[in-house]
Amino acid sequence: MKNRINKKAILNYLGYQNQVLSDEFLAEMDEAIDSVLAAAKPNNIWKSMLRSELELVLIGEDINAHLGNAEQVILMAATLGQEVDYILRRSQRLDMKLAVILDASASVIIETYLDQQEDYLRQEFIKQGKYLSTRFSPGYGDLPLSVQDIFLKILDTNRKIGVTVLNNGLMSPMKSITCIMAILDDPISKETDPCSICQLKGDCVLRRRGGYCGRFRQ
Amino acid sequence: MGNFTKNKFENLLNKEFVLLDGASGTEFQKRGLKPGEAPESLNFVQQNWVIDTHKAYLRAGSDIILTNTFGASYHKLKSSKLTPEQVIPQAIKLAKKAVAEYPADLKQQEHDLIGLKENSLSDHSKPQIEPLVAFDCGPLGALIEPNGSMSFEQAYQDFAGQIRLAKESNADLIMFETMSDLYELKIALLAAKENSDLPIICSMSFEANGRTFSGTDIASYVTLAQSLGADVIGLNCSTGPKQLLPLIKEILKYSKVPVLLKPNAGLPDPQTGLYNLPIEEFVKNMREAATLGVKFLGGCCGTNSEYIEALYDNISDLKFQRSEIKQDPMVCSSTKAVQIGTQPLFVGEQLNPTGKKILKQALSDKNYEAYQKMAIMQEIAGADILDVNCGLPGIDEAAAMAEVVKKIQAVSRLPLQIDSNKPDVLEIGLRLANGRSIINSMNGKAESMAEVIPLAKKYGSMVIVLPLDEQGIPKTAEQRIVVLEKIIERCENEGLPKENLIADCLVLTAAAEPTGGIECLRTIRLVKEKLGILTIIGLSNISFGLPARRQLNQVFYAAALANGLDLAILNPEHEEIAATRAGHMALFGQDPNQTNYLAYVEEKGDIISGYQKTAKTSTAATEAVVLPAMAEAQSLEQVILKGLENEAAQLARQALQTDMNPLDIIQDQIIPALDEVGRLYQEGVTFLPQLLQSSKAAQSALNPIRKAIEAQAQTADSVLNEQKSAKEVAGSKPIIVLATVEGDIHDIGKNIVKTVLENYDYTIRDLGNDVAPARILEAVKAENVKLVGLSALMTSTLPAMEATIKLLNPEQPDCKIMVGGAVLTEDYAKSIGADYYCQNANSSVEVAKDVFRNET
Repeated sequence: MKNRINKKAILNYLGYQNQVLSDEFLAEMDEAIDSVLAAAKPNNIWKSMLRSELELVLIGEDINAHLGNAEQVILMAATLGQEVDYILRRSQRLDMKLAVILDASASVIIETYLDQQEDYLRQEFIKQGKYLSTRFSPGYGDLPLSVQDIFLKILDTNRKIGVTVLNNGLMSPMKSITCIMAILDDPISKETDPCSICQLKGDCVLRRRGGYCGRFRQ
Repeated sequence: MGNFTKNKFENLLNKEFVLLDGASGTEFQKRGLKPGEAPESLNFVQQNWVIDTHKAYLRAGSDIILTNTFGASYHKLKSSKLTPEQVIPQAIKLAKKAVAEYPADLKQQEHDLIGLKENSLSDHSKPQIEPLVAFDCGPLGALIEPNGSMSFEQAYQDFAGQIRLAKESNADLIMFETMSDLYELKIALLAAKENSDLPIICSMSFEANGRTFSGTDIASYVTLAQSLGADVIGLNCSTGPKQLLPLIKEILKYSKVPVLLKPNAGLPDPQTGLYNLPIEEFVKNMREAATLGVKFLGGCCGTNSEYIEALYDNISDLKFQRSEIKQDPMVCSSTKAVQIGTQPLFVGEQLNPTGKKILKQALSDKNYEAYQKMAIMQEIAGADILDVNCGLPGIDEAAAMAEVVKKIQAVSRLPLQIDSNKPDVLEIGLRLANGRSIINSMNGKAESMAEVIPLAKKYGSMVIVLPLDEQGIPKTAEQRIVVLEKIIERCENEGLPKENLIADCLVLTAAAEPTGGIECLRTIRLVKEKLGILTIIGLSNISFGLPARRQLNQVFYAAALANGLDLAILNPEHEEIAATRAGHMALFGQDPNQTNYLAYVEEKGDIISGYQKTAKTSTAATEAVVLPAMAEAQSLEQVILKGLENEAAQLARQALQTDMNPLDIIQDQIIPALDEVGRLYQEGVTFLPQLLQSSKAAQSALNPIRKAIEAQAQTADSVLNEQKSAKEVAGSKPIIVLATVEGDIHDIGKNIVKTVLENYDYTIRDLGNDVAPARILEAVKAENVKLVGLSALMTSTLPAMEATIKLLNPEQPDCKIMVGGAVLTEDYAKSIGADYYCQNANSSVEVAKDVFRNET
């Protein structure tokens, strides 16, 4: 997985604006990535379901626009596991600089892991003549975080991969992601523009700096 | 009733093997349970499904069936219309009904005949063994602090309520299953023990990598479950039997009680949801488990009555046998078990406020971060176990111990040793420790034994025992043995086995007691020879009052090891101690081929001739961003800008050597440097890691300066006033309260702000994350605080931020509120009534300057 990790994305999380980085810092970033990878126990679970079974999850215009005319969707959850939370918590007691680098690395690594799983599924479905849309997560656009609870119940994530929803739709372990993909008969021609549906639209620090958060694939 | 159910359970143990049931969820789904629907509702709306499933298992040969209550916790049922009060009695009633009704056909009689031991066949008076109904208790469905927001007490109440219902409804036993958090299991076991006398089967769900999702390993699991009195310990769910065999072997290695295996029928296919392991394979692997010594067998997800029946048939010819357990005692945290007696161990002594100002202050401020930092440092330095002491006059020691234990185990993996002479403090520490702990300590006085023995039994703890009693401290080793014999006898009479005891061999100060050293060594030797129990000493006492104490400690430690010492309470940060231990083990056959010693030298070098680290060079961190036009950093200001920690500390010390006032160094050099750091950050010349690196450099400059200021204050004070409270010392520094709002557990943003503000010499009261509005108000009122910083990371926690402001504003109109966090905007901050919006870490400094501009 290490080769796939996008260091630029980690720097983005840290508010990077093209400063000249020292060699020491780059080495430190590498070490942080290694620590996260060492602590991580990446795990995922997915299920293909009929769209009609998921009225309680597929709330709002944005997700339904994203799914197009798909009748079948994939629900998926992935996590880096609790040990990553532990090293993040612990590092915050010793060294905040290390802590922020670890945190940013972990955020990118869970996305990278999900990218890998997504690619794998995409290939599997192509064999069956089906195509997957990109991922869409609770919290994007007008799909509320409150669906997280039922989402995780359907996948039985607590039992299967150790992911639980806390109050307010947050997940534990912290570096966990849930997402929805459409299973389509034809390859999609147009993807949802991530920024167009974002709640921070018009007031995004990253956009002002000329970047974006990269929650969608780049 | 209690004895009766115990007897029923013990009768079951006379069987060669005890069969449990298989899945019920899978069975219900086959009959039409919809995804997402609570299986517990079937106890009312589809009673026959439940009864028929039970009966199918009974006919297949199950000796124990589990009630349909896996999700019947108060927490989980909250989202349904049902309550545990409805579900649990009803589910037990249905299971009992199934037991009463299922046809006692030929197969069942045959089963009992084969199942009974030979000698009991002749005993015609013995009643036929009736299948038992186990109250099935799954995880609560919420995570406990620090991973989630459920408190220990809430979790306890949930389990206790369920257990009482099960007991009232006459369940025969309790089964905790599919647990993945050891802390939750500990709470469940305590609730079961304190609210019933039913036998307990406990079962965790492990991944094939040998850990649960929360990181617990087999040794820690068995150590904890056994110490809290589980009657059966095992594994269920997660994966197929074959993948669990290596793990079950490890359980068999440690567990003195019978072992259970209840695995899935392989893994489910994500597209169909069906489990893939054929019955023959399942049974073959389960038979292997049975031959290894697993006595309780059953199935989990994907298995049905056919699996159980095939399993029953397949093991009917087997005789149960299991080899005896021979293991040194262990203590554990949730993720790490430490075997005691196998090799010399370090108990880190630093988490003790005696002589440590920073911990005294932590206790009086109720802000335990200093304990956390010190715990991490002790762990990094090589401690195997952490001694935790919160004794400070004038505080609520039990409340402090509770918080400190929780805080420490959020950041450290080491087992704990709870250190107090007050039984209530010991108890709260033992209870909240996530694992099996050591009690420090008990002595031979009647009062001490009466207080501590019950605690040691209840929590299954190990206990340090001091050979002293009403007659005082015996001088000679022989006299100490007599006292220890008395203590051991009393403990064993009360059911506390002597392998749980650790004899403190009493180090007396050599300067005051010339024979103290030798008598301690002789005590170690005699305890080992005559009593056969573990030994410990508190090392540094030997050198009290003498100069260059570390070398004396080292000499004594080497001698104690040579006499057979097991544990020493000491500061593992002293390198010579670790060197002595490594050397001792290498020379005296405890380190075959000196492998560990060679590794030690490889890492640490030769500590006598000086360091020669061959491993990676120390990561003396430095600037993240290459700052132009500053090739040579020489002034304190420049080294802080560049983030050079060592240089900053050195320059600060140099400045202190001159006759500069320490406060002036801060005002004239450090604050301007930090202002410049902030400006560069705001302007985008640097970014977050550089800001924090400079903060670290400033911190290392501030440390010696603050010490100097404290020293000055003390000299001035000592004339006037002996004891000055920590709060007064904090004195004129403005106080800022920081918190992540209720419901939000992401506190990295708040911690960044704290790091930056602390450098400006504000006193930070960090309330942590998930903080209720009322607690924030309380903290503000307590010290008449003028600035509060609130952080929220998620849109869903913004209402909690608003609620906090709504509570604070009318009550404390003088207190300003700044808010920040990823999802906040300036407009939103205004709309919820915040006084300031902080766009980034450094904005908080500007706010604080603004708020406190008229102070100092």
